[in-house]
Amino acid sequence: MRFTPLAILICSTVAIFLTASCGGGNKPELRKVEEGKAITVLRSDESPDLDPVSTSSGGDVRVLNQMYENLVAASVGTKEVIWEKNGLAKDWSINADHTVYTFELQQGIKFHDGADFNAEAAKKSLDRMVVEDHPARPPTRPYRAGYFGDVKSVEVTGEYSLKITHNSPNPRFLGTLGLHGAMIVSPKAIDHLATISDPAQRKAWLTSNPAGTGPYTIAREADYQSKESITLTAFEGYWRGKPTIKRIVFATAKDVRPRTERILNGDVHFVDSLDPGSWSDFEKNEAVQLYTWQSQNLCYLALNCKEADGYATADKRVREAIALAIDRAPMVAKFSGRALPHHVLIPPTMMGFPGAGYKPSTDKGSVEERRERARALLKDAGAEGIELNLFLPDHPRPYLLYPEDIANLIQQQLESIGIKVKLDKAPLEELTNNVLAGNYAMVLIGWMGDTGEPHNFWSPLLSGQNGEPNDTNNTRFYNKEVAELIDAAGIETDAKRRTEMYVNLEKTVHEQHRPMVPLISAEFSYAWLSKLKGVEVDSTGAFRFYKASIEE
Amino acid sequence: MFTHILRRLLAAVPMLLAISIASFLLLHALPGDPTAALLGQEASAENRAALREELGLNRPLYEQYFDFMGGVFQGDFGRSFATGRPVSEELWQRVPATIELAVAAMLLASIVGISLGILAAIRPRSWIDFLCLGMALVGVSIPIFWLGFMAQQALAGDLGLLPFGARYNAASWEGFEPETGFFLYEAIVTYGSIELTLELLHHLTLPAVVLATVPTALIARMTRANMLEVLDQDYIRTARAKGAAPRRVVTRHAMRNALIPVITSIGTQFGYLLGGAVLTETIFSWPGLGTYVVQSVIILDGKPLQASVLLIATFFVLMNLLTDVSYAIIDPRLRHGGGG
Repeated sequence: MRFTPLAILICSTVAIFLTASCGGGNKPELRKVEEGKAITVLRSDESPDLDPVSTSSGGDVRVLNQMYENLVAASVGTKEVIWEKNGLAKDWSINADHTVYTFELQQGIKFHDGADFNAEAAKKSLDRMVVEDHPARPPTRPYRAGYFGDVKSVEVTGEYSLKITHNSPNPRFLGTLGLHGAMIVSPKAIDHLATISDPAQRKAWLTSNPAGTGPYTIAREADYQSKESITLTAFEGYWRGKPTIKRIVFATAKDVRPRTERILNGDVHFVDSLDPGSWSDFEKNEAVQLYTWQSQNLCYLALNCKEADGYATADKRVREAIALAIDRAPMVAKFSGRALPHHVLIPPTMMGFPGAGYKPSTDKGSVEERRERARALLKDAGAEGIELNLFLPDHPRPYLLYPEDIANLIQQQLESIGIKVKLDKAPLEELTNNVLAGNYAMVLIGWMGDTGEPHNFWSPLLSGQNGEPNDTNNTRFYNKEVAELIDAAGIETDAKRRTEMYVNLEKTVHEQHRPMVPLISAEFSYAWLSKLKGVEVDSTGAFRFYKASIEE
Repeated sequence: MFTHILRRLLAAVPMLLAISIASFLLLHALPGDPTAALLGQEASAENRAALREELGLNRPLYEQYFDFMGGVFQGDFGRSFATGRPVSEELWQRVPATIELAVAAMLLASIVGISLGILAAIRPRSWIDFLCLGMALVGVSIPIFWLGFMAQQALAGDLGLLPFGARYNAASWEGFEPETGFFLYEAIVTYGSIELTLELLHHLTLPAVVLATVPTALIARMTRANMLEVLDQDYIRTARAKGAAPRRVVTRHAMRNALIPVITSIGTQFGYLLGGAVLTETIFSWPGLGTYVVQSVIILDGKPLQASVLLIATFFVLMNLLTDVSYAIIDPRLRHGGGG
């Protein structure tokens, strides 16, 4: 009898299977999850850092939202962000000058690691963000200086009572507590983090060993397979009730094409950031539900205002000429009409938006008439025929889905007034480094708000400290008077007066200084299979699955 | 033969040294300050200076290089600034994914390519020869990203026969805790699960077929050319004259000699696949070395990039070395210093 190689191969494979199936008892138990109890989320960003205090990336935050909770919770079903008393705090009071916030916390809540949630736990978690040399801090705390810098103390006043005191009035603080940086982490986990000497290792440890109070967790370290693929398991002890969906896999596809195709084919359950050009396909498809909303975002052209950097854009007349040349209509068309032409800093759904009809003087009149004015201004500034470089991100951002197309439009529009534009595509990190080094005349970039607060736009984008612009201020514009106005609006406790201050800031900054050209504010989108019921999207755009179930 | 192998091994040393220097310098060639990446933009100049000191970035370049190599020999490639995790740990998860894909693609390419090449050679200028040549030409010329997208659209999207991507449907399995990253091995040996094995193979099929396209075409062309040359040799004519059956002439006499250069070239092709699966991995969301490189480039994460380049280049040199050595074992003319 002769064995051919193929027969030998088949026999040995069968033998391996049989041996493995009958072999020892140490084999881990493998189970197929019950039909309808597992979902796959395919998102545009990966999640390298699941430490709430350390990250500033939307890809991380979308996973964190399933695992951690804040003292305050964003409203669901409202356009404006309202902070509601159904988070980890059941009630709060604020003193008259907004320096002292007192919280009454929910009782009977457990963390994933079994620790109890109480005021001590909340303090320990917030201290990790607030205290300068905290032994459990991650290597970076990007939100600390800007959002938590004025916190004087976090005190426990009872088992479930907490008092947070500020150095100066802070009417923005509820929004700050809604940030991912203020998500509450288990005291047990923080104690463990404090034993790790390397800050980078601390964030890596927390990434694969999360310990929040949320409905899902990473049950085993191995479930954080990589930054692109993370498996979450339902937390049996979740205080609002056990979730129906047992497992959620967060997979990644950076390109919009696979996200679109896979959701339309029912291969995944939930996707984000879809191309507005394809939204009509979704609207026609009954098997898929499209969710769009006017998000708090802004796409803008930052103009380098710093004289020391030596660009022509340091001259206000050149900046005005650029603003006059910009026509937003073709940009909106690129977004298939699913973006708003934008003329101010603040998005339309936020306090301080001066109204849809408001336009600075550079944005009024016909395109031809404005470009005529622009040419005259350039002549006056002696800047005819200048060449400027324009940095743009080499990958789409949620507020800028088509960076190259929009940059090409800007290039054409500025050419019409005699400005030559050299485009420089760069990864975001490199782009930021070039801005900080002053190696740019213009940057096409954007900003997304995460607290529903106008200060969250004004302070990082157009202010500074100690006479220097903030690192996130891509215009390098610093004006003492404007910075003081921004600070004053940030601490104004009367909401009506505060709104007026922000409206006045819009008028002052764009008319008198013109450091940037706001371009568009895009609509954002999610899509999920229609059979996936109960998906919750709050007013900040955060999605959650704890009430979700699959109904065939 | 021993001298030949030793000579080849020694020749690989300067190459590996050059690779190590190039990958070390890569980190320094990246734009931007690595301390800014690690500490974030809000870090003060003092903190950045302290970190530069701590990381040894102020020391002479040669000292930093020796430190780097010391780490490499201990399997320590540093930490990714994006995840804070050791790069070696991340590579340990990703390299098996790439190897699994590359082995599957190479197996497929070898079986299909050799079969097509032989078929074409034994019926020269027949329709089957033209078909094989045509397929080989298309296989070599077609852009892999286009083929990947089309295959994905047709087989996964329109027909729904194969999955769009990923190694398996992670949401549906509980308790799958692979220790090695070789999922197929784990499913078969550790878990003995036929269902999971079939699911893994189901997911592997499309990326493997797409990745196998170019090597299949090259192997088919090479097999055909060698077979035609060998079939024209005197000893084949003698075998036929002695009355050997046509099938035996092809399988016993011609194939053995014709396939020696093909088999060795498969080694080189495998080296290409290990490092060159970037597009296929990206299209099919395959969490391997290729996607790791792409992501590291996008966010300028220096250490993973450095380690991946070093690893891919070393793979390639080692595969070439292995090919040289196997050639010497198979072909006696080489090990005795002869040959043309």
